[in-house]
Amino acid sequence: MTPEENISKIIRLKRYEQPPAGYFEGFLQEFQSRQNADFARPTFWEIVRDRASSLEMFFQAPRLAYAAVAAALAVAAVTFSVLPASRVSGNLADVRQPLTLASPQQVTIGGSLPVVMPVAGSPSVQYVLPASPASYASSRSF
Amino acid sequence: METSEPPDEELVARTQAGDAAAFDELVVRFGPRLYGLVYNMTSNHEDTNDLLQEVFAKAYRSIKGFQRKSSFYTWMHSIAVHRTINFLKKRNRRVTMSLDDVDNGIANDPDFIEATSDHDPRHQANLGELQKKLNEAMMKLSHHHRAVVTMFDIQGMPHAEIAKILKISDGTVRSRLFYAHRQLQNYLQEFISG
Repeated sequence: MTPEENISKIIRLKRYEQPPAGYFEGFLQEFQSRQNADFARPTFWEIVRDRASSLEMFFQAPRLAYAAVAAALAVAAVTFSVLPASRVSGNLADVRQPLTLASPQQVTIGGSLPVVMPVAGSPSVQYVLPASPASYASSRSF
Repeated sequence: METSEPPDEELVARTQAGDAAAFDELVVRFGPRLYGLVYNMTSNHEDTNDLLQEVFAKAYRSIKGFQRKSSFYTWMHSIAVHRTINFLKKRNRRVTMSLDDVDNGIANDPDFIEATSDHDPRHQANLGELQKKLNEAMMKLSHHHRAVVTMFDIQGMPHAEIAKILKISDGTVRSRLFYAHRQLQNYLQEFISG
């Protein structure tokens, strides 16, 4: 017997390595259950279609948001166009130059003419005479 | 009364027509043989089980495209070998199996008795040792050489059939076999009576 035939003979002994008894019955059951699971599982194209519809929903939400923002802008534009321009500008001027304590304030006392009261920090003191001189006042007798 | 089993071609045609039960019959018919093929290439029962499930699943998915240019037997073996070789390329670990996996019939096999006989102290070996050495020797072969040895020596396929399955020439099968046997002789020197 040649060495090659000898080696073939020994290798052939590997035919005795077998799976446990009853293995093939279980194998068929496993195969069937795997096939059923695969059948129930969505296919690649079903997954793609599902993902695409999810993506569409994702883009739909901002679209509503854009519409809401556009509507708000339109309302704001209409409101501003209806208001007089002067009021808007006056208001803006008030905001730009706020009042300070240094500014002279007009105060009216009784029936006299308006006087300008000195305010701390004013450059010069101004005196304003009453509307009628004291000599014109009626004399009083007791 | 003896009931004749339907030929492979009929089961294939029925499967192609949508009869899943016909494919189950093919699984039962080809399971043990393909198991031997995959197992002797992987030396691991769990990997073999998973691979075999994949092989049959792949065959079931592709059976509508099977055009009968080769026999169903060749087609199935081709799927199994190529899938196993791809798996082995990814897997580097080498796992030996337990003694329980060996059929008891080996003890009565004359080749086993001769290989483990005690007429020469060098041949003294037990079943576990022989099995271990055999597996180690097989795993030292390249995937392609192991596939050829498995199909020729263990499964008893002719060269021409192996050539069809592997899509290589008859000469390539023979040269791979020769080279593999030379390597195995070196690894299993102590068991070869000369």
